[in-house]
Amino acid sequence: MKKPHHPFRILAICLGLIGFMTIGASRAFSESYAVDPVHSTVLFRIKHMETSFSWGRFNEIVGRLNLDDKAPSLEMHVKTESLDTANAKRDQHLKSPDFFSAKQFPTISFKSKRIARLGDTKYDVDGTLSLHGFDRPVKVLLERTGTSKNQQGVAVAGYATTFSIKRSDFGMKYLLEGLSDDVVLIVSLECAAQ
Amino acid sequence: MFLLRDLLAGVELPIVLTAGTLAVGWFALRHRHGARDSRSWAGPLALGVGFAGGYWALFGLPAFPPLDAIEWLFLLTPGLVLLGLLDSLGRVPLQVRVVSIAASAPASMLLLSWPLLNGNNYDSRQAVLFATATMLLVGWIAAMDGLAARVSAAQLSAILFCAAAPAALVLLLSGSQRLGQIGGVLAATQFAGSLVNYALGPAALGRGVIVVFGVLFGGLLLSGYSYAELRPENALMLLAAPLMSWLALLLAWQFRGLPLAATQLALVLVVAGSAVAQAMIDFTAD
Repeated sequence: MKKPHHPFRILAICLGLIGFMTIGASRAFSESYAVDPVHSTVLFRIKHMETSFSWGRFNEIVGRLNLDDKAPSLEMHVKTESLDTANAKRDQHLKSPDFFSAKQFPTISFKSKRIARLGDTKYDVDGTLSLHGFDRPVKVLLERTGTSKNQQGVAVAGYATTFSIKRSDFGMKYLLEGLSDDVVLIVSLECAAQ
Repeated sequence: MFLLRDLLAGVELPIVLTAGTLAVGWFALRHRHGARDSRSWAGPLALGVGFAGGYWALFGLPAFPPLDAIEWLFLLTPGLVLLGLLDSLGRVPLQVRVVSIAASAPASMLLLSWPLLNGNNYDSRQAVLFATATMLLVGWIAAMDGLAARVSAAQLSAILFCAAAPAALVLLLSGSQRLGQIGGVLAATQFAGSLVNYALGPAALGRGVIVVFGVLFGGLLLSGYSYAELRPENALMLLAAPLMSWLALLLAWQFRGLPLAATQLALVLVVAGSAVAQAMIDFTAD
């Protein structure tokens, strides 16, 4: 004789399934991360004398990324004093009032206004770049470059974007004859789940 | 990187504008009674026109309020010239002169320091620096004002040139070409002032030049320290350099026959040159 299903057992199984699906769904869509400053990089590239590219980077980065479908956001802050072009004299010059005026404008910030998902790994990000006392709208294509778990078992995800700005839009008009107006920024973020 | 255009805008244009304004001032008043003294109003005006013209040609007009604090150096110039003209009229009561000079120095230093004195950028060291710079500048203006009454216009401009030209070089070596160029414009005005005043003969320069030059010079040094990498000892040496003229005066009283003008310039150059040497050592050491 076939044993009838106990209604409480069925209910328990259903609740268990619902609970599992809910947790899975939240894992899939709640992506709140803190930018790992050690494994993240902000590079910039500028053309020198219409000839070759000079590269530099910012070494101190903090930020938060949330790709939750409901309220996605990205906020990053870069310490201007951490500028590094592998030449102390050039760094000193770039940090002076000729360019970044790092003492007057100690932070470079980006704050998203709108993030739209473009498939599984790409995001269209509209935001405001605050640099050298100017706030200018910037649109970037953010791409997830990979996901993994770090040594502590925390989920980590990599994101990257490359975009261009005109430094004159941010009031940096000095030496435009020798250093291009166009500056390419390459941002690579490693973010740890919160 | 300096282009020919920078040389024309930052050196030749201020020389032409300063010399032209001084010549016009001399021509306008040459027949008047007491013209030698009256001519002095052209001093602060020529300095202001030469400095503002050179700055404008190099960097364009800054916004108001300015983006970079150092742009206040340009925006302050018209007010300083008015103060200088008032100062050079000679009939202004002493109390008014003292109050105007005592107010202009802290107001200028405050505007130049403001980004580091407010909001998230507040730096207590900058507050101390602001107070120190203000006191030093008021003392400097008072001391140089006394000197202006004792030397010819040409000599005073030469003294100021011997401090401003090395200051431009030191600022250049301290990380900011822009501050160096602004220093170069200031030096160019005094080069022109020295030549034209020498050609036109001895005249009272007008104390008004001192307040204009002093605030711009002090402001440049404060900006170099606050926003670039100007060493404080170099800034102090450069500020002290023109005051060496007083030492030369004392030496000349002590040792009769000592060529005063040459001694003054030599002492100014020794002190300002020491700052240049220190800046060059720092620059080549890294």
